[in-house]
Amino acid sequence: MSTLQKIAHVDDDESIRAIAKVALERIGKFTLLSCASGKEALERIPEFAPDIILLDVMMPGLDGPTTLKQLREKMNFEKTAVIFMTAKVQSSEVEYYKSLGAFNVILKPFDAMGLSDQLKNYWVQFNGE
Amino acid sequence: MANDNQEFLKEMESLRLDFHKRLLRELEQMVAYRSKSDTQLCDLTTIKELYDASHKLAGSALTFGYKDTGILLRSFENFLDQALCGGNQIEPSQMRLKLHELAPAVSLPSTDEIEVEDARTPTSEPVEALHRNEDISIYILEDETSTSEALKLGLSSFGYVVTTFSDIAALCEHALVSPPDGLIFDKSEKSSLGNKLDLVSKSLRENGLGDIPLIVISPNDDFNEKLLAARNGVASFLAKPVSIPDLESSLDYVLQQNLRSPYRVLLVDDDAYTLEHHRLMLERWGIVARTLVDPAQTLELIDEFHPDLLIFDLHMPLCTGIELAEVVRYHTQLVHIPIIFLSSERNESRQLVAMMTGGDDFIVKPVVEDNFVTTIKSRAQRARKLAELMTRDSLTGLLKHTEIKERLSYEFARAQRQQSVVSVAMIDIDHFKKVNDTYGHQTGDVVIATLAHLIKRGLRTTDLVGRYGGEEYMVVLPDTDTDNALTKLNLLRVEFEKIVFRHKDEEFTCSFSGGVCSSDLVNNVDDFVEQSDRALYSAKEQGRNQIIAANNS
Repeated sequence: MSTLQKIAHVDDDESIRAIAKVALERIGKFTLLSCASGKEALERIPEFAPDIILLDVMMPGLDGPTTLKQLREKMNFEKTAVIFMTAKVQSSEVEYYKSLGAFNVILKPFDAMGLSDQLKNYWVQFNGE
Repeated sequence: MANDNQEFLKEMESLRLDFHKRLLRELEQMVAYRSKSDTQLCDLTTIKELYDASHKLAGSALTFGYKDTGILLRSFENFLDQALCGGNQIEPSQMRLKLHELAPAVSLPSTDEIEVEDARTPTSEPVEALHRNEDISIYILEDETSTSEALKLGLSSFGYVVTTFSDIAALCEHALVSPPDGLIFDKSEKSSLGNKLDLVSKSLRENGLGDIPLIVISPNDDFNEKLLAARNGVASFLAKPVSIPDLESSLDYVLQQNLRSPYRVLLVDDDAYTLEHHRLMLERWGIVARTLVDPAQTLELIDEFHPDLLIFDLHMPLCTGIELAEVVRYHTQLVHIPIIFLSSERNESRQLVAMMTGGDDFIVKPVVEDNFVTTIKSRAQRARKLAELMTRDSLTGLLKHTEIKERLSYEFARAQRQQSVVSVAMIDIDHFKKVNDTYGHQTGDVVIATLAHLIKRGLRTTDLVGRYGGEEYMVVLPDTDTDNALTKLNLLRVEFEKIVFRHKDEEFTCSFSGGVCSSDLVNNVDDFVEQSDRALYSAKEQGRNQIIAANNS
């Protein structure tokens, strides 16, 4: 398993992007690509080739699930884990997201301090170890 | 790593300050919409706009720890969502009401009241000024000739900002502009509380101020009076005569409830999917939940996680929830933790059996989110209160002797593990015997309780305070070196000597002495206590009303 290094984060809220940036760069020492919309994500993520994509579900324009669908046409997801971030989780939703190919779901508000560790755990699980 | 964490916290703090401004700005915009909505029917485009805005803001507010504001925004968001789903426009009156509910969020708590998880002040930074109640605004409603002046003075000495009103209408008018954190209704005449309280709570509700905690001070101590208060949603009922420390601790309790650390719940269920569903449900309401599929690990996890409440599934392959509850109850130190059973079992006799053997409540699956969360919150709240009574001194509300010693050992060990510094201070009221002899024990108790509150108020939430002996206190200051500890204690010392106590017509003041020691000077906890004790002794020797630090010797 390769070490977790590159993370792409897609969220339309500037404050959330800022907090995730500090959390992931400062604590996790990851290389981070922040995108403010699904559109930006489609343009920049394939080239960045991240290990994990953190994708906000509810965004204006392209929402998370749509962004993921369109990303699939542009890149290979064999080595990339997709994690949705959402404030609303109904019982059926987690399964729905997983059926779209999401590896897991992180509930908002997330714990900034623990986010990096959480992603590391998911990365290990994603690689089946 | 330690440095990175400090950097991280610093950056988070600056992000939060930015966000604080943004939050205020956007909330104001949202609430300002109220004037527009006075006449117009709210159309779907506007609803969608408001919905998107509140969804976004709620998410970041909660992430930054603005829990109350976040929850307010969430409820607004849900309200709009329902309208959107139904494709309905919203009546102006309804919209106005909802926007009104958001109003308290605009007068946000100042940032220092918001907890960052385990954020500790790094030792290298200057000590911040004492945390006082200066931001806490209290309105007192006087009843005709009542003498609220004494209350006002007393509370002011604890740093509350107190405003008195003699008329509920005037109070509401002010409260709409700047809502207070708490209200005190100081009732005077011997007649029953009756209509007057009805009027007060009705006025508050009609003005959308129903959520502000209300404390009633009444000359009557009878059951009916209290029942009436309970029916009107009164948060705390005090019978006259009321001592200021009593009132302060009541206020403290009522106001702090929302600021306390989140409840912790452990869920045990063999179905991982149900577990996750319940966990997410609880976490959405700010409850920290841990899950366990294997009942055999329950005791270990309780030990590690310290839950306020346990939720067991009734039917699991390895053992039933009832059996698991019995196993937990074998451990007497866990007796106070409530256990709730979950099951699809609707049969009442089975429910009864579940209650008889160590369980406290029974919830039928699938759970209804609101009921589930409410049940769990109220159970957890009671359990905490009980645990507090078990570990806290009744006069001062501080930790008891054994408890503070245990916490000190824990903090000492932690400091060594993390190579940080913790300081301990022993504090003793000067010439206390003279106070007792001259003014009586009751007045002595007031002095003890007052100093207790002063210390608690002046320190961070991560600091620990215990009543070590009669008039002796122990203060544990994590991540604080000797110099910072000295600064903090001296601030407290100066505050304390300014407080004027009254006994009948006589006025007097008190002082205290203190000894401080930091963990880098000693090798074990016993030395730690002994060194600070010796420093206290020196402070007494050298004339009292001073703080002395133990030095390397």
